Amino acid sequence: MQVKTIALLPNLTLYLVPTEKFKTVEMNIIFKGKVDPKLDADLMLLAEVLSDSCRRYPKKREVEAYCDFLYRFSFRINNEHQMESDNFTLSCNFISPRYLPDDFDIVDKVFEFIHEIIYRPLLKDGAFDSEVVKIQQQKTITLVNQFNDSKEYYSLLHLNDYINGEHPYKHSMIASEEELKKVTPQSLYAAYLKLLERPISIFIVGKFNELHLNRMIIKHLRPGNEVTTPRLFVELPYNKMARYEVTKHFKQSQLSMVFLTPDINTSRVDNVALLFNYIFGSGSTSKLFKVVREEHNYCYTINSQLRTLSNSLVVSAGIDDKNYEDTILLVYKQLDKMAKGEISDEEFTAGVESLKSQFMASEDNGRSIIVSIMNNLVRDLPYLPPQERVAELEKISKADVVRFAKGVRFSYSFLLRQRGEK
Amino acid sequence: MGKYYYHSIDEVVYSETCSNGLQVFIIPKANYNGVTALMATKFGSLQSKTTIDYQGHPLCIERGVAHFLEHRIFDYKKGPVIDLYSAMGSYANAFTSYDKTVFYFYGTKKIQTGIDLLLDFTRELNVSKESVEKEKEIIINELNMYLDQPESVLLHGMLMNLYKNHEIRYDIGGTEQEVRATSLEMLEAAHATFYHPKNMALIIVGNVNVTECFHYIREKVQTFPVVAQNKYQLEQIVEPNEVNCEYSSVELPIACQKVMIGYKHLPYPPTLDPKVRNKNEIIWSMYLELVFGSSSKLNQKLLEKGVIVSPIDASKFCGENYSSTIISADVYNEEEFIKAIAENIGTVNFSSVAFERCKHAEIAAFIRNLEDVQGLAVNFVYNFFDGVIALEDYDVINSITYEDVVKFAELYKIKNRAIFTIKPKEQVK
Repeated sequence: MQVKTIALLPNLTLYLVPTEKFKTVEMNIIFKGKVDPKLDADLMLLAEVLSDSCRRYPKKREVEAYCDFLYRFSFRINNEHQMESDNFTLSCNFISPRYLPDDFDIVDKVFEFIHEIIYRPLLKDGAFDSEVVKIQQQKTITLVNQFNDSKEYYSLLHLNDYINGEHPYKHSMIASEEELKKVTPQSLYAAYLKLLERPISIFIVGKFNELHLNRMIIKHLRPGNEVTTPRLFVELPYNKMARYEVTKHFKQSQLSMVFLTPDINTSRVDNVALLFNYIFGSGSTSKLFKVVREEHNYCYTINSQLRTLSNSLVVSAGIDDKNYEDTILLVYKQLDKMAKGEISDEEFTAGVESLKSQFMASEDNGRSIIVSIMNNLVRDLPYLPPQERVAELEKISKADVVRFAKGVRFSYSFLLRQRGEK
Repeated sequence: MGKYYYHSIDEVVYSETCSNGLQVFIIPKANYNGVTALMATKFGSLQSKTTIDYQGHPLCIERGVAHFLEHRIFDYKKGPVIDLYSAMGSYANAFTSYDKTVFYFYGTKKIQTGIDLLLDFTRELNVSKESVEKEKEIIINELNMYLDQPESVLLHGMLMNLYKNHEIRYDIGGTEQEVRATSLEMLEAAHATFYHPKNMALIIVGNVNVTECFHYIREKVQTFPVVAQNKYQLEQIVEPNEVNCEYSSVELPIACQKVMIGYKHLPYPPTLDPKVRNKNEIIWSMYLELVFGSSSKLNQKLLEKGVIVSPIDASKFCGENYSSTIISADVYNEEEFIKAIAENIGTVNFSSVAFERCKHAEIAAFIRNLEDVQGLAVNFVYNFFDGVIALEDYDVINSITYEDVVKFAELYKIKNRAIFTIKPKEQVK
């Protein structure tokens, strides 16, 4: 599968992956700018307001009804941070014209609709409609507070605070209740105007008529003039080994541990990191799974995740309070084993083979293809077809993984301690 | 080998019944890199209260045995199944539902070896008393994890309120006590009975050579010893038409109140043609979408009035011997929400234009499912056990008329309702 890059307009770049493999077309439209913590609450609400209404479809149900008419055009608008980069994204999926009646020109209708959603919002007196903003504000505040109902999310959010310390980019894209309350119809409109100044990147995977698609994009999307060069990789501070604890109502404790890793932001090393992570904690054949769950029965799930942009790794497990110290020790021990080269041939082969499969499988899903292209773009690297990624992976030796493991350092742990009775 | 081509969606299903009774289906996807193979048995938590004729004596099995068995089957005699798949670069997992247990793997190569293993490890149980005891702690950890998930608590509370005797009111995994009471003998008896090939199906979706694949499976299955299926007797449960409890609530430290409203219906007669039942269930889903879905008037009204936080979730909840409609939302105003649902259920407040839109959405959901090899395999096996071929749904959806959906509203003439709610509890600092 090849990616075709087209500079369609100044500040509008198109990344096309034409394929007949899928029955739907996947698309991401990204307005890319630089993170401005002062705008986060506005952009978070703006995503909700634009998703729910526009001049032609003022009510949420009218938006939804039109999406249904478009054979359940599925779209989502959200705002994401990648360190200094702020990606205001409309991601969507629609049924390929081949499976629809001949006279149903879905591509035209989809782009007309996106135009309505983005460029013709519901305004009143030079700002967003205050009633709409009020409802969204209340809804979003409730949703933000609901994040704390999940112990996994609560832990990650607090861990993020500890990891990033006073770092300028620690600011979460999930605004707080206080920040959301400060948003006004006017501030929202100002944030909207700033958003329209951003350049646009569009990623499309599926079967389409390229010429027609380009025409639709030029007709319906207008990139701004602002050009930013945000930094995407940030070195996390390594302050001290520290443990934090919070007691909450949950019936099971949640342990999170943060490790700093060597640089994992170039393609070659990235694969070593993926392999290290697979053997250490990401799969159900990992050392953590085998020892903490299977041997000691301390948890039902345990896993580790790489955070590439900040060169870190997070281990998470739902455990019983009484096993806290033991679990931490077991995690250390597994890392130590990897650094000492105690990686069996079976573990290494399973890691390599599983990653190869994952790379190949990423081409079976339109969304994964887009994510893969975007992940490479972040690193200024071309999209590597799975076969080439597999070839890269095959060059990695056990010694590379051991070298990587030696560079992994424990930094913080966070225990969300259970209080509730079972 | 049977072959069915579905022209409108450009999909083919091949099927065959093996000599031992195992049903095999293949849906080829030539352009894909990966393959999912899934082995399923009609054994879930609803079959838990069963007496099995095992080695000449009757044996009563515990609740949660289906789920327990799912955990232990992964411990195959040649090594942990997950490791064996991992060595092939494949990913394997399993899940237990109310009436099925499903094992599957996903991989991009060595598919034949993967299918081979799938056929073997589900057939042979390799457990010891020690391994059963060890697994209990892991399962209890899993059950505790669900206690921290408000959505699980909400559904469980609802089913307890709707049903008085039916097994559906109990957790799929059982309680901690039931898990602790599970014995090696129960697992062996349940396996010998419900993992019989006649009770199972194998579905393969993805990039495979169909002829070679069938040939291989046929040869493999012929080497299996022929064993008779144990006789078993499901506990006969009489479930009253009335709900068990009309209203109950619990308090949890959550941000926003959750309300679930259930309407209990008479279950489908067992003699009903599965195709008729399937069409009826699609109509049912469309009716709920039209009255309570995100493009309904009611949903918009309740959001604007600040009654609900997020869109209403309304779905059918049915299977063998149970049938209900479940409607839930995160709410600001419980009373108003309950009142609004009561006023709207059973009404026909949608136009034929809205119906056509809903049909578009239903077709799109069906097409999207065809793209996801794993989702398609699961959907296929669920429908197959219910006597339906999922790929036929495209034509079924197209055949549904506005009048069908209007007529369906009559289901709600008898309003047999239960409510369960989780109220936010002030957290102790």
